[in-house]
Amino acid sequence: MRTNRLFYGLILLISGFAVISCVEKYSPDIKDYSDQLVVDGLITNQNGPYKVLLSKTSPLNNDELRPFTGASVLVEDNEGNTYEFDEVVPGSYENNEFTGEPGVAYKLQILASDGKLYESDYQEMPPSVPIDTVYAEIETNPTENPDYNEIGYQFYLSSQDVESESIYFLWKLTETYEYHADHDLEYTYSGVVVPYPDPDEFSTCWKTTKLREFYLFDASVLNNVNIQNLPLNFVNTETKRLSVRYSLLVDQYILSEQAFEFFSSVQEMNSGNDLFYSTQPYQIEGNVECVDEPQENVLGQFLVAGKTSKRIFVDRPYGVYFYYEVCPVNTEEIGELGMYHPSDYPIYLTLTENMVMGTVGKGCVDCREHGGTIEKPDFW
Amino acid sequence: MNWIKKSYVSLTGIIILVFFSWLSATGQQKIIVSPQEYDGLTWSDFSNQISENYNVRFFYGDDLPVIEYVKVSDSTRLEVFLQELFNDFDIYVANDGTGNYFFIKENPLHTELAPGFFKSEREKEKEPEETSDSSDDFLRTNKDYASRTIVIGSYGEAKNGKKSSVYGFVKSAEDGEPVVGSYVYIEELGIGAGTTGNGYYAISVPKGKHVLTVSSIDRKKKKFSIDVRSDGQLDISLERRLVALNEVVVTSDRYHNVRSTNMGLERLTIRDVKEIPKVLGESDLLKVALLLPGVQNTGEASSGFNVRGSPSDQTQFYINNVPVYNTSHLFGFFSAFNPDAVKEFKLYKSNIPAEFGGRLASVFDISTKKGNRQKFSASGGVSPVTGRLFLETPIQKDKSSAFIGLRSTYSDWLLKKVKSVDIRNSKANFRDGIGSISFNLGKKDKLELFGYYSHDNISFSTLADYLYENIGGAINWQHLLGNKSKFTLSTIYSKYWFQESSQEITFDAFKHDFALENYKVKGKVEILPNNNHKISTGFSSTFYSINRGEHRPLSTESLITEKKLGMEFGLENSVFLSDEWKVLPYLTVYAGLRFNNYNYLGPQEVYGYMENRPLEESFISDTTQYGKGSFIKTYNSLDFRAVVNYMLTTSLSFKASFNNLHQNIFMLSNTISISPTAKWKLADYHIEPLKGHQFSFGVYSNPDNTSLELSAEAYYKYVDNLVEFKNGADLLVSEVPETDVVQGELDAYGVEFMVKKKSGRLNGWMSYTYSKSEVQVSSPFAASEVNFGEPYPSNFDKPHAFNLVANYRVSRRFSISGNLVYNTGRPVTYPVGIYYQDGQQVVNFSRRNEYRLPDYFRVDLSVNIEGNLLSDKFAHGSWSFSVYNVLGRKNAYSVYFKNEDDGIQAYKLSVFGSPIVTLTYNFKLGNYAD
Repeated sequence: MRTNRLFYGLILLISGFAVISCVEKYSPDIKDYSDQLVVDGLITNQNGPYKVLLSKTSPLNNDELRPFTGASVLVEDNEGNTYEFDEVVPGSYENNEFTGEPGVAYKLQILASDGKLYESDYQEMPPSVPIDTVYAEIETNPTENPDYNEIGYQFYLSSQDVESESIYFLWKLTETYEYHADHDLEYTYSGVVVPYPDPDEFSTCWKTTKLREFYLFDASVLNNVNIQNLPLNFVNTETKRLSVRYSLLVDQYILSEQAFEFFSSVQEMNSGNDLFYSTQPYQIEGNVECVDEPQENVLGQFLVAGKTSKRIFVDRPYGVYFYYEVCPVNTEEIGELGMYHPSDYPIYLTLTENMVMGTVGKGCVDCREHGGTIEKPDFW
Repeated sequence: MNWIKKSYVSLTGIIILVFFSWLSATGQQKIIVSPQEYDGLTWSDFSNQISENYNVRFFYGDDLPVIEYVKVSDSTRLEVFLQELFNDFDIYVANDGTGNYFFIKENPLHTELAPGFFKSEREKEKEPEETSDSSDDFLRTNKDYASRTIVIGSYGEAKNGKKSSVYGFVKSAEDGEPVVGSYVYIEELGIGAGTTGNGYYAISVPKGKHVLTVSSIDRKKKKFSIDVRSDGQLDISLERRLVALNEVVVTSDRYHNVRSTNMGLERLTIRDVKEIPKVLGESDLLKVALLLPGVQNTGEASSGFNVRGSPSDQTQFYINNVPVYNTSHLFGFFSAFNPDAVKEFKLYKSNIPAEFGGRLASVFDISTKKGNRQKFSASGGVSPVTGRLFLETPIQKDKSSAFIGLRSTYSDWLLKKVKSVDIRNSKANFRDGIGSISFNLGKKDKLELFGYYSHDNISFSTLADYLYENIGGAINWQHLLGNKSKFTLSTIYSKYWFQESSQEITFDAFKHDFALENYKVKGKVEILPNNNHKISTGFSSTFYSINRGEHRPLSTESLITEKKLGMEFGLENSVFLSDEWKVLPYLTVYAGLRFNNYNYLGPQEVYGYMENRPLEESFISDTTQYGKGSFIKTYNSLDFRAVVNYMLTTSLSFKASFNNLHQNIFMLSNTISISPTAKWKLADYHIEPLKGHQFSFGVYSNPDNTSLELSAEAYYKYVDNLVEFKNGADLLVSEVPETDVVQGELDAYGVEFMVKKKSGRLNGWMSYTYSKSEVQVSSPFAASEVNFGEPYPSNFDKPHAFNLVANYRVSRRFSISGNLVYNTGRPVTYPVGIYYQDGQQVVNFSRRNEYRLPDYFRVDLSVNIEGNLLSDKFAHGSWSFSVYNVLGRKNAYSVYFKNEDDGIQAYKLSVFGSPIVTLTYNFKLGNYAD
C-alpha cells in the first residue's frame, strides 16, 4: 500500500510538473470476460454464524452480484470434523454449529451443481492479538483549495503484544453515527394541512457503513508486535457524520502469509491504480482450486483468521465549525399549497424558529432518506 | 539582399588601387563584366557564363557563400568585380594571368611571404621523376600559391617502393578538437580514408604530387597540393562550415550508409539534436533518439529506452566510456546529459562492434567535446525550468584544453502553481556537471581526464523523498603505434546510487539506500595493416560491487528494524578481436569474436533449494557460505558478430548481420515505466546471464545526385533467460531475489524504413517501423509463471511507428523545424470484471497486456532565430521558440481505474494534454560562427 500511494503521488507530481496534464473519464472497449467462480468465506475465533458466499464475476458495466447457487458447501478441520453449510439466500451458504479455534486448520470443499469439485488447502487459524486502543484526534488536512483546510477526527490504532509472533495484520472498519433531521415534521399537506402526530418520529437516525478502505500491516519489519499510532480513517466536518455522535468498530484480523498477499493484491489492484509507476496489474490468485481442472482460475479467498474487535465512540467535536448545509424552509409559497399537483403529495411542512410555517423536502424531516434507520443499535 | 549590398559600400578605394596596380603588373587579359550581360544571375550561372565566354576557370571550395543574385551595376573588370563581390566574406580572389581564378579564405599577402616554398617548388621541377602523372591543372596553374604545395617527408628518408604513408590529425580550426568522420582522399587516385575517433587518418599514397582533399559533413572542404617524398605527417585544420555553395556531403566510409559495414547505426551530432523542437526548453538527446526507427519507450516523460523490443536495461549508455545507469532527470522529463557538452552520439541497434559487450539490445555511445584549444569560450541557455552554462578554454594553446558544463533546475515555482496540496508541498530538483581536461603528450600521445555527475532530489509532499546520483570518471589514454595503429587504454569508475525515505507512517518511517559501483579497465588496439583491413583487438575487465540495499529507521520514533540486504560482487573479463576486410571492391566483411568470462564472487550466502520445487523460501534446503573473493559461479561464453556488405553499385548495397551477446547485469524493475527506485542486480548462482541473438538484413541506397539516404532493415531477435518478476513481488526489500525472479524468453522482430536528407535547406528524416515484441514465462510451477505461462506483448510493443523530423532553414538567421510522431498505443492490462469480497468490489484484470491504449499522435514545431551575424562582437544570442504538441491532442499516458462510489470508472491521463509553449534563450561568447 505504501508503495502504491507513493507511486500514485509520483504520478501526480509528474502531472503537476507538466502543469497542463489532464485527466478525463474514458470508456475503453472491453470484451466481456469469462465468468469465473468467486469464493468469499470467513472463519474466525469469534462466534458464528460463518458464511461462505459463492458468486460469479460480474461485467464492469453491470456490477450486480451474480450468486452461484445449488452447490453443496462443506468445511472440514484437521481433527476430522466436518461442517455442512446450507444455502440460506441464493449464493450465501451458512453454518452456526461451531466456533473456530486458533491452531486448528480448516479446509473448504465446494461441489458445484454441475459436478465440479473445488477445494482449498488446509488453512491454520492464527492466534488473535488484542487491540490496545483506538482513539481519535482533531486534525486539519490541506485540500485542493490552498485557502481551505478540512478539519475533523483522525482515528489511530495501537496494538501491542510482545509475546505474539503474529506478523500479518488486517483491519476492517465499520462506522456508525447518529444524526438528526434538520427539521421536525409538524404537518403534512395532501389537499389539506394535517398536523403530524409525532413530529420527532423520523428526526433521529443511526447509519452503519462498512468502510471500503481496509488497512494492512506487515510487522516483520518491526522488532516485535508494537504497532503505535497507526493512522486509520479521517472523518471531516463536511457531513453529518460527526454532528452528534460517531462510533468506529475496528475488526483486527491476524492473517496467514497467503491471505496477507491476497489482501495486498486486492489493495494494489483497487487503489486508484494509475497503472504506470505501479506494478503490472494481474489476476489475483485465490486459495481455492478446481480439483478436476487446475487451469480453471477460481477467484477470492476462504479466509481463516484470528479476530478481535474494538469499538469506540466520539462525540461532536467541541468548538469546530461544521460545513454541511442545512435544509432551507420555504415560507414564501405557503399560501400557494394548492398549486402542488396531487402526484407530489404529501407536502411536508415544518415550523421555523419564529413559528412560521414553511415547506421542506422529505429529506429535511425524515432522516431515513439519508440511508439511516430510526432503530437505535444495541451497542449505542 | 542587404548583406550583398553592404559589400559594395564597404569597398574602399585603397583596395581597388592595390588590385589595379597588382593586376596590371601581371599583364592581365581584360575581361569586362557589364550589367547588360550579367546582372541578376545566380552565382553558378554567372560563373558558368563567364567561363564559357572568356575561357577562364574558377577554383573554389565548398565554403563559398551562397550568392543568389549577382548584382552588376557598372561595367567593371572581372577581377575587380569579383573581389568586390567577395570582399565582405574575407575571401580574396586571385588569378594566375592565364585565366584561372582562385577564391581563398586566407590573406593573400601570406603567399608572397613564403620564399622557402618557392625554392622547394623549384627543386621539384628539377626532379621530374617525382612528378606524378596525376598533377592536374590545379597544380600547374597554382604556382602563385606555391606555399600551398606541402612537401611531405624528404627524399633522404624515402624508402624503396612507390608508395609512402601520409598520416596525421584532422582537427577543428576553431577549437582544435579532432574532427571525427572526416574523409581524407585523393580524388584522381581513388584513395582515401576516414578519420578515427581522435581525428587520425592514414593513407598510402604513391610518391609525387597530388591534390589531397579533406571533407567532413559540417566542415569546409579543403584541398591541398602535396608533394609526397617519403612517409610523413600532415595535420590539417578544418573550419566549420556556415553556408555552403553546394552542399554535396562527402562522408567517410566509416559512417557511410551504403559503403560502411554498419547496420542499424544511428549517429547524430549535437547540431541535429538542437534543431529539433524542445519540450520545456531543453534540447534532449534521448528524446531525439526516440524519434529514430526501432526506439520506443512506454510513454512521454518517462524514463526507459527500448531498442527493438528489448527492455531498457538491455541498452548500455556510455558517455566518454563511462557507463551511466540512470539516464533521466525527474523520472524522464529530461535526460541526464547536458546538450552543450555533447558532440555526438551513436546508437548501435543491429551490429554491435566486438569491442562492446555486456548488453543485448544496443549501445548508446555519447562523445563529448574536447574543449576549445584556441581560445576561451562560454555558452549557455535559460529556459522556464533550467539554466545551463558551458565553459571551455585552452590550457596551453593547441596542446591542452579543459571544459566544464553545469546545469540546474529551478522548477519549484511551477509546482507551486498546481492546485493539488501534495504537489504544492513537493520539490523537484536536479543538477548535473560534466568536465574534462585533455592534453597532447608529444606527437603520439593524448590523455583525457573526464568526470561526470548527475543528481536528482524529489520530495513528494512530506511523505517521501527520492535522491539519486550518477558519478563517474575516466582516464582515457591514446597512443599511436607507428603510423598505422592506435592503442587506447581507459580506466573507468562509475557509481549509481539512490536513497528513498518515507515518513508517511511515523513508526514505519524508513530510509532505503542502494548503490552500484563499477571499476573498469579497457584496452584496444586498432591496426590498419593496409587499405583493406581494419583490425581491432583488446580486452576489458569490470569489477562490480553492489550494495543491494539498507533499510533503516528514519527517526527515533520509527520501530523499523535495520535490515541490510548485503553486498554482491561480480567480475567480468572479456577479450575481443575483429576485422573489417574489404575482400573485393564491392564486398566487405566484418567479423568479430568476444570471449566473456563472468564470475559471481563471494562473500555471499547462497541458498540451495529442494529438487523439483520452485525457488521459494519455503523450499530452501541448505545454505552455503562463500568466503571473500571466492568464485561462487563462473559463466563463460563466446559472442559472434558478423556483417557482410555487398555493394551492387556505388549507391546501392545489401547488408546482413548476425550478433549474439551476453548480459550479466539487469534491472530489478516490475513497474511499467522505470521507477526511480529500480535496483540493478548481477547474474548469480541461481539467476543465469541473459543471452541475446539478432539477425538483420538491410538494403541501403544513396541515390546519385541527391543528398538522400534510404534504408530498409529487417531484424529478428530472441533473448533467453530474460528476467521477469512474479506477480506482486516487492523488489525493494526482497531479501532472496531468486524467489521473486522468473526467467523467460523474449521474441522480437520488425522492419524499419528510413529516408534521411542530411543536408540542404530542408533536412531531416522520415521513418516507419513495423515491429513486434513478445515475452513468455512458463514453468512447471504455477507461481513461477507470468500470465499463466502464455506469451504476452511487452510493455513497449508498439507495432506501427511513424516519425517525421524536418528542419527548414529559411535564412542564416531563421529556421523552422517540426516533428510528427505516430505510434500504436502501448499494451495495457485492463480490468474486465468485478467480484465481491466481504461486500466490497474487487477488480478482476484481463490477461497481461491484452488491450492497448489509444494510438499516439503528436506534432511539434519550433522556430530558431539567431542574433545578428556581425563577425566582430562580444557575444552571440539566439532564441528558440517551441510548441510541443501543437494540436493539443490528449494522448493517453495511461488509463487507470478507480473504484468509486458508483462503480469502477476508467480515467485517461494525458501528461501533455495541450500545446506546451517554451521560449529558450541561448548565448555564447563570440560571433555566430565561433
